[in-house]
Amino acid sequence: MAQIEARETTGQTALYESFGRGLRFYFSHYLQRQDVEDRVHDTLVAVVFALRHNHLQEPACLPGYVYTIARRQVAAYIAEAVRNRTESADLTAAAGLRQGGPNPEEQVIDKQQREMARQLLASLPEIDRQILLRFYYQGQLPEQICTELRLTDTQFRLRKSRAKKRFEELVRKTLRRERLFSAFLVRQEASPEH
Amino acid sequence: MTHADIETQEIIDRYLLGKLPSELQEQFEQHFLACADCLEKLESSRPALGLIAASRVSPRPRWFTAPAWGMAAMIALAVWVTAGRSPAPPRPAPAAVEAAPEPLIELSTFRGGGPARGLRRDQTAGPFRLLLDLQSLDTYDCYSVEIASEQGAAVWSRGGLQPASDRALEVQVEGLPLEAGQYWVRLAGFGSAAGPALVREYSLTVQP
Repeated sequence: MAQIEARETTGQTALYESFGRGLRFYFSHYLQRQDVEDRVHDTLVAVVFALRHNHLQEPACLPGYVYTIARRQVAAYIAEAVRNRTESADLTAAAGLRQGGPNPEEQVIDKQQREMARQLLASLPEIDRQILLRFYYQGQLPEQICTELRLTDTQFRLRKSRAKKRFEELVRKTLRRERLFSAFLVRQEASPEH
Repeated sequence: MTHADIETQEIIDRYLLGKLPSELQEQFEQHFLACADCLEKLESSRPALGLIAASRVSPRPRWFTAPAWGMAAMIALAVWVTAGRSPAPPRPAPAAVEAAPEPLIELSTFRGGGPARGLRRDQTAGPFRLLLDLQSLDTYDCYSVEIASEQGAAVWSRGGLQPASDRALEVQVEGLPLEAGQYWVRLAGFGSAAGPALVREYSLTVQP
C-alpha cells in the first residue's frame, strides 16, 4: 500500500500479482470471457486510485476493499447487460426481426463439449460415473445416493473424492491434448511449406 | 474462513455448483481472491464440473444398477450368444451413458447476455420440457412457470412446482403449440410468509 501511495510501479505490480488471478476467476464466474480482462483492469485501477488518495488506511482491509470494488463491477455489468437486452428486444420487435437460437459456432462447441464429457464419463468405472452424475449433475443428496447405490457414508465420500480427482485428471489431460493439437494446427497454417 | 472449513464443508464444489448460501459465498469469494491454493483447486474443478453438466447424461435408474439385474442381463446375453440366434428386431444395448429424451430446452440464468435458447414451432405441438437454471437464485418453497408472449400476455402456466434439486427446475409443457416468435418464460417463487415473487425471466425463441 505504501509503495502505491508513493506511486512506485513495484506496488502496482505486487497488487496485480496478489489479486489478478483471483479477480480473473471471480469475474469469469459471473461474466462472459471477453469482458473479464477489462473488469480486472478496471477494478485494480480503482483500487490504485483509492490507495493513492488515502481512501484506505488499514492494510488488513485491502482484500475486502478489492472484493467490494469487484462486486460493484459485476453489478454494474449486469445492470448494463439487462438494459442492453431490453433495448435490443425493443429494436428487434420494432424491426419485425426474431432472435435466433445459438449460432452455428456455439452449437458446434456445445456438441463437442457434450461428446467429450460423455466419452470421459464413459471411461470411468460405472459406480464412479453414477456418483458423479447423481451428485454433481442431478444434485441428489448423499443419503439418496448411498441408499440407491448401496454405499455407506464413508464409502460414498471416499469414492466421490477419488472419482472427482480421476475425472479432473482426465479432463486436464484431454484439454492439454486439445490445446497441443490446436497449437499444432496454428503452426501448420503459419508455415505454408508443410 | 479457514482451509479446514473449506475442505470439510466442500465449499469449493458448492461454490462452483452455485449452492453456497450468499453469506458463505461472499466470505469465500473474498478469501479466494488472494489465495493461491483455493484458486488452484477452483481452476482444476471448474472444467470437470462444467463438463459433467454439459454432458446432459442421466444416471441409470435404480433398477438398472441393481446387481440382480446385471446378473440377469449377463445370463440372457450368454444364452443368446450360445444359441446363436440373430436378434430380431435389434434392440439397442444399454449405452454406457444414456441421453435424456428430447426435446429438452435448457434456459440458463442470465449472466451478462448470451444467445436465446429456442425450439422449432413443430416441437411445441407435442409435450416438451423446459429446464430452468436456478443457480445463484433465491430458493422458494415452490414455483410457478408462465410462458408469456413478447407483448407480455400469458399463453401457458403451471404452478405448484418443486425442483428435484436446487440447481434446476424441470417442467413439462403441453397443450400448445406456440406460434413462431419471441416468448418470455417467467419463474415465480412462493415462500412460506411472503407472496409470490418474480424470480427470473428467461428468453425463449420459437422458430418457424
